[in-house]
This record gives sequence, C-alpha cells and structure tokens, in this order.
Amino acid sequence: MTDRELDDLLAGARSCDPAPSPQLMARVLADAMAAQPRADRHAPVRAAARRPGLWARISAVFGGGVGLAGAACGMAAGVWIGLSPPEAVLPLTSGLWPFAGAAGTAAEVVEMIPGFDTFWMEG
Amino acid sequence: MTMALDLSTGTSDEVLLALYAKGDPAAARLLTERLVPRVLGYAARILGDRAEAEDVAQEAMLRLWRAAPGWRPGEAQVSTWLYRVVTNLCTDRLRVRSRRPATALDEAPEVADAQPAPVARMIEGDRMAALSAALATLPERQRQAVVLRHIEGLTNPEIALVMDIGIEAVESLTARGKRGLAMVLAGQRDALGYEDDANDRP
Repeated sequence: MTDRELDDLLAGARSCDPAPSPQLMARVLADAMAAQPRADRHAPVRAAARRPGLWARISAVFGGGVGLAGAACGMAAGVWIGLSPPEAVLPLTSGLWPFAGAAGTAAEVVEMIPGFDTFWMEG
Repeated sequence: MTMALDLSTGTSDEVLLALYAKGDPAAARLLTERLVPRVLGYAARILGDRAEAEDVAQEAMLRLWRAAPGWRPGEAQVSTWLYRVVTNLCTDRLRVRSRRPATALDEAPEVADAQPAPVARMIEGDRMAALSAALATLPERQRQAVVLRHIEGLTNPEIALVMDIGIEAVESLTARGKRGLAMVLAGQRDALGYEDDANDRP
C-alpha cells in the first residue's frame, strides 16, 4: 500500500464514523443538566419559601398600598375632626361626649383617684 | 443576556463551556452535539469496542461538565483537554483487559481477513473495517498517535499535550505507526480494491 493510499484511507475514516446513538446523546445531556451550576436553580425556591414582611402583610389587609393610603387618610381626618370639630357638628356630638368641643370651652377635670398626699396628712 | 446570541456557528468550545458554567442549557446541548461524535470516534478506534467507547465518551463528557466551573480561560483547549481525558480512560481500560488474557483474546479485534473477498464486493465499509483491524495490531501508543494525527486531525504539538510527551516522540510514534499500518494492509491491497486505483495513476 502506498503512502498516498494510506493517507486517503485515514483521511476518509473520520467521515465514515457512525453517528452517536440518540441514547448516548441523551445520557450525556442528562449528565450535563445534572452537573450544570445554574444560578437560578435555588433562587425561586428561596423566594417561594420566604414569608412576606410585616409591611407587606399589613398592606395586604387593606387591599394593597392604595387601600392602606386611603385608610391612613381616613384615620388622620378622624383624629383631626375629633380634636377640633367643626361648629356644625358640635350639637350632635356634645350630647354623646360632653368634653367634646374647642379646647378649654367645655372640658372639666375629674380626679378619679385622689392624690396620696391626703392620706399622708390623715396619717 | 446570551439567549439572543446565535451559539451554533462560530462560537468556540471555550466560550460555550463558560456559558454552560453560567447556566445556559443551549451551550450544554451544542457542546454535546459538537464533542461527543469526536470523542466517541476516537475512543472506538483506540478500544476497538463501540459499547466500551460509549462508556468512555460519557465519562469524559461528565468530567468536562464538572470541570466547567473552574475552567481557566486560555489555559487549555477544550478539545485537547478532552482527548487527553479519553486517552487516559482508554489506557486504563486496555490495562484492565491486559490483566485478563483469556477475555482479551476473546475480545481482540479480528485481524483483517487473509482471504481476499471479491473486488466487486469491496466497498468503503470494507476498507474501514480493514483499517480498524490494522490499527488494532499497532502498539497502543502508536495507535493513539496515528489516530490523533491522521484521523482526528490534531497537530503534533496538540498530540504532545494529549499524550504528555515531546513533539519528537510524537513524530516518531506516528511514523512507526504508519509504517506498521502499511505493512499490515499491504497484503490486502488488491482485495481492498486499490489495484485499479494505482493503475489509473500516471
């Protein structure tokens, strides 16, 4: 056999290789997937397992951020009206709450527990 | 992100391996399609056993996947590194075979048939079978060097890296290996249909 014939034979050998079987390719690919260091492999699990924070839970009770903002506005308005009610509201509320009114106009101070100094004086 | 990148053309093995290490599944598929046929063909020629070569190919690829996260760019070519792994795995298996002489005799590839078949029946497959049988008669290191150089198409420096020897040793092994092949195949030249081809040449 001449050198040229041998070179041709060797050069043609690679192109005559049978293709790898689908089973082998599947096994190799399965190994690749199993060994692949995927950055997103654990992140979704952690995100799913993590409990929502306190703020998120409070917000959820009021139906989200918009609901929470509305509730806060309502609460602030209630406090404001309670401290200094408009004149038109006073006739309605004075019967229910005698101390309601402008500061110093109808407020009385009732001492429910007398001071201890009285007991000291009586011995 | 790299998803929009067309990885199928022109992307080096090294870049694909880096993408694989970052979690890109497409890179794993492309590397598998690109490398497994080469690894399998090389292992099959060295071992002379297709089933055993499949095991070696799978093991070599698994080692590549595991090496991917720590792969240092520019240090080694992926293909060269893989050929080296396959060479070592094949050497281990051939050593195991050599310790089992009875089994080795049973599993030894058949040397080319001494009785020439009719020329009309000689097809490319017969030539390849004769080549495989002739390769099996070579000493292991010569067989590795010849296959890497003349079938896998590696350069002598690459083969030196794969086989962990000097370039001169590679040249010596390939030259002796080719002489051995030519001697084995010389007796079958006519049967393999080379007579007419030779007569056609000036």
